[in-house]
Amino acid sequence: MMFPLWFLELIVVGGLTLCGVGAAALIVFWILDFKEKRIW
Amino acid sequence: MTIAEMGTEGISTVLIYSESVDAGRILSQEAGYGMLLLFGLAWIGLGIWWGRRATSYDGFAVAGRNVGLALGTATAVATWVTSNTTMLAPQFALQLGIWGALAYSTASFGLFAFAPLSGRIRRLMPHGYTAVEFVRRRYGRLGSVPFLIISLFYAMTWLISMAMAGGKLLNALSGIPYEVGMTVVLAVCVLYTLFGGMYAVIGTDFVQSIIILIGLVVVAIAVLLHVDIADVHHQLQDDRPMLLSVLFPAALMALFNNMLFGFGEIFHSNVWWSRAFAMREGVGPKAYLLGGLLWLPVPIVAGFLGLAAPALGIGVSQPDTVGPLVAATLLGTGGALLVFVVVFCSLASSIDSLLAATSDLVVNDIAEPLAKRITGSRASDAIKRRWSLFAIIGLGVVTWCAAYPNVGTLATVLFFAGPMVGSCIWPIIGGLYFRRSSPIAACASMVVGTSLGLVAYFAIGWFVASLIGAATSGVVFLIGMYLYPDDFDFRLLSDSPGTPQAGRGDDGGPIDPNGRGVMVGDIPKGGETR
Repeated sequence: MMFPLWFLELIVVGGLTLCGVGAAALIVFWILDFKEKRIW
Repeated sequence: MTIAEMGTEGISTVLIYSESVDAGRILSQEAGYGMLLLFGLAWIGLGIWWGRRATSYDGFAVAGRNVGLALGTATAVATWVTSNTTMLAPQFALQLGIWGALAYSTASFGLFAFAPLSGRIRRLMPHGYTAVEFVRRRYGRLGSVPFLIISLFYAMTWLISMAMAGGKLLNALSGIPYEVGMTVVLAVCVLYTLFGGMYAVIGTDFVQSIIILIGLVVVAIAVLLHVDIADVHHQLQDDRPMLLSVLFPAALMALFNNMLFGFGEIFHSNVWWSRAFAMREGVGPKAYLLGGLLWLPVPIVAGFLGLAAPALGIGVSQPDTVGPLVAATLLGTGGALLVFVVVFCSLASSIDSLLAATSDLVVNDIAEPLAKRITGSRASDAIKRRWSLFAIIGLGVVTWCAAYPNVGTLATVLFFAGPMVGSCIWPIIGGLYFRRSSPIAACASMVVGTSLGLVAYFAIGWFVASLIGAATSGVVFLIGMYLYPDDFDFRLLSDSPGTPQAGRGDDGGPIDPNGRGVMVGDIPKGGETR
């Protein structure tokens, strides 16, 4: 029994999307913290 | 002619060249030295900049205990993305297939699981510095001695493997001699940690996590432009079907082993505890949860580079550099530079964290107790700050000496610590949540779990060592708790180590013969903080 193609596509494309969203989220969090002076 | 000029049709030629002549050299030495200089100066500069805040020992060791969500999340991601993630995950995928990439990603479960623990740690020990300090005050010397040995062994193993990875990476990509690359990477991290302590570590982690995530996305998309996922699947199906097998025994064992290794690493390591102490009240659980979510896809995306290697006909002479080799081979100089930056950030973000957290162990759990025994008084913040500097330099020197001979593969070095940290999972969970968890149970579970895990490591293989270490230590811990139950008062953890307390010596030191803090019954009892 083998992993189907759709599963490989799901984890690769899903992983890529999550990485991209993650980088954006970190920047958004930083901006929010900065505005509220809660970085440190 | 550069690889970019050759295009994808030239890959085979490049590989013949790289395997037979100069294993995987993609960048010129000049470019490699240039990148090293650029990023080395950048990290040191940022370290000095952020380090200006570290005016007290609390600032230097735990960044003032007020780190917000953005930096808290970023430091969890960056620290957990080691060069092993970007170099070993593709190796896992290359050797163990899809399960290999998935197995590596299960290490994120440790971050998820540590999220609630981090909140409890912060509440129970608002003035704490290290994980060993918790174990010492919770279990006494019986628990803290094996735990300190495991913590130091693991920290040094991780540090050495990171330093070795740095040397190997620079050598694989640009031909910079291993000894030179390893030395420069280590020296840069020592310098900026020395200047800025935890402020510098967490600050640079933020920048590094953004670079790692964006760099990985760019490299993976560029690889996908060269090779279709369907082609990768088709090629694997024809040539290496085991890599697609749902029932790949070694890979399945690696999955559970890696997950438990991750749990053990995070639960016991002061790298994560020091961050829990550093984050503002209430931030830790959210930051570790988000950090786990952001880290989860990294080994999968990196692992895809390893899976793509057979489809591209890429022969790999050194499996632990397959990721950088695939990206750099496909993307030419630009890809090589990007991979270089991503892996350099991965290295730096882990090495700096280890230097800072391990120096805290040396200062708070070795030097300070020894000094107190000799002089009879506690060390001042200024003295502890000075000790931290010596500790960071000392750790750098020891790491350099161990990494210089370049012995063993990354996986071997890394997984040797697996059963040891796996055996710490239950003593930590039990110690944080259950009053009945006792010193004898904790000590026996760590010793038995480590011993049997190491036997399994040598008798069977690395892929079962953590599993067996964690499983046996869990059983021993439960039996120990049943036979020798404790009745610990969690309030004893909340006071500052220097605060005199009823029932204690005036230096706040332990009075229990085992070296533990005050036992229940020594002070008026008023329930526990849970």
